[in-house]
Amino acid sequence: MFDWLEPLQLFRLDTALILTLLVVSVHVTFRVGIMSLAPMGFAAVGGYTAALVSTKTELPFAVGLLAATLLAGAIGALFAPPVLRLRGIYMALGSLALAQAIVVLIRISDFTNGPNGIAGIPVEVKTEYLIIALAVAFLVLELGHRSHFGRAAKAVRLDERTAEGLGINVFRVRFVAFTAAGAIAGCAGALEAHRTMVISPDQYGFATLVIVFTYVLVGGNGHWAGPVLLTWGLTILRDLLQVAGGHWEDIVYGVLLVVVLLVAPNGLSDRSLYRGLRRRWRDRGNPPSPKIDEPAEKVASP
Amino acid sequence: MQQTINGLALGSTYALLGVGVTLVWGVLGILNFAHAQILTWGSFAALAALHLGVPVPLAILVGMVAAGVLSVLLDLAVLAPLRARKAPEFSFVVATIGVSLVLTTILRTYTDAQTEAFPRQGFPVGAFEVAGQNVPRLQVVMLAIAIVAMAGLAFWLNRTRSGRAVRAVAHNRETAELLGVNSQLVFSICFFVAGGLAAVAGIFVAASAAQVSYSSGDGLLLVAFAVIILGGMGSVKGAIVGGLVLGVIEVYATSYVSSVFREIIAFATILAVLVARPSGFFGKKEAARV
Repeated sequence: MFDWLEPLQLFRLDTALILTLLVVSVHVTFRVGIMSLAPMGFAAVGGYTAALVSTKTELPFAVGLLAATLLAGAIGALFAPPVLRLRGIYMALGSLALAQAIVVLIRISDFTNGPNGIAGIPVEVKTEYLIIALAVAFLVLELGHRSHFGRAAKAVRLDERTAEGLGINVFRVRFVAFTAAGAIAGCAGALEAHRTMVISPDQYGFATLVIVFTYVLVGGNGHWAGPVLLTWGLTILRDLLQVAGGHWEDIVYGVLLVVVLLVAPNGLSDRSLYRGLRRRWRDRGNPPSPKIDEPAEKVASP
Repeated sequence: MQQTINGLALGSTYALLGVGVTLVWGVLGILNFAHAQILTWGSFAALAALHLGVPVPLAILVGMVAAGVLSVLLDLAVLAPLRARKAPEFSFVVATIGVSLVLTTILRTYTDAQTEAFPRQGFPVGAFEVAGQNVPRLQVVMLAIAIVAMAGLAFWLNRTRSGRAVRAVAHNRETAELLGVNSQLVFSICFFVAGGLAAVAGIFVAASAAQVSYSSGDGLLLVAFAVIILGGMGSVKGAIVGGLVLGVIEVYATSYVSSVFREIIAFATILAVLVARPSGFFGKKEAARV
């Protein structure tokens, strides 16, 4: 189906699609106001589960993928209660500690072949599979977005206490989101393992996390389409600019992340950002109109 | 006994790390992921000074000032605008992660990802014997520096006018500003001091390992966070005690259980303390932080 693409282009397309799954995973947690730094830990669980199933047993790829998704989801569910107890930067730190503990366990365990990682994983992933997986994810996201659960999630993110007052079970919403994010990241990790043939503990580190965060935060935390479209847009852009893989890429992503946090805290898909810009464009050349809440001088003088 | 001394020696490194982090995180409540990079840049600045033939104490000072300035620049360029816009806590975390990636990449490109030898001449190396036990000199110096830094910080924060200003800003920035405190100045001073302390820790770690690389700070960052969580938020003496305890735990776990546990101790400590007793040893109980 994608034979007309050059191998390099196809490789980059697959990379972008798997990265999109990770972006979706992080977006799901951000939607409910969870500051989780754990996605790479779940991706590691998924990647290693799938790799071990297909290299040590005769089971087909689908079983490994399913096992990876379920195991990552289960670990998410297991650690959700302690992590969700934490608030703010403590949640960020707790989830990061969880992810690092997972990666270190993989690195020191003989069962996972330690720091050398696993090689010779059969290549099973075709672009079609990735598109199907993403289409399913998008469908679920859109249904979730429009459902009672989606509105509850938004309420939880905007104001936890008010949401609780409205009868929303805040913990349950967050628990579902954290578990689902774990399962999605695990699935992404499994697909990545079956695409690149080789995995090692070091690939689940900060660099990928920053890239994913850049996509999610620059894309915006409103609708899922924001981060997804940004992921694809930036992938195409960086191919055109030929910066892929170099040192510059990391610097560009880091700077982009910081600049967008400063300029557009809600991401580029935030509607109020464009409202403000439009107002400024409309008022160009004119002196700024007086603010409404300031009483006019004539009224103030007796 | 020797194991305990080894643990305390390792813990001295951790205590020194913790003292640097506790000011910005414990007092001002900013989780700075770029701290590790500031530490590494400070070590490289000191290394450059040593290569120029500068004596050791002066080189340490160069490293401290370089890291302090970098730290203040980070605050002015990135964190101050975020504060001005009352950005949520998580923005600070993500922004400092972004900055840390940029700083790492610049240093990696500059050093070609090579590990550089760190000259130990002029540093107190070797060991001396106390009651038949070997005590490494460098670590004793580190512990001494950590304790002096702790005493200095405690005196500054509790007994001086500018220290009171820091605590006022930490408690409530707007109220402090209404009372005439220049909050940006307070932040700049704190970031400068934190950067300087980070550089000292980085330089001594580099000297004890006799090498330094662009990534040598990365592993230390989560250790420093573990120290603060263990010792208790906002507690300066907690940083010392937390550091020493973590060092002893790590050495005991390595020698009596299995060496494979060494790497995982810091993360396990963070998780366990956050879940069981989020206020650590000396921290105040704060419901909002649990």
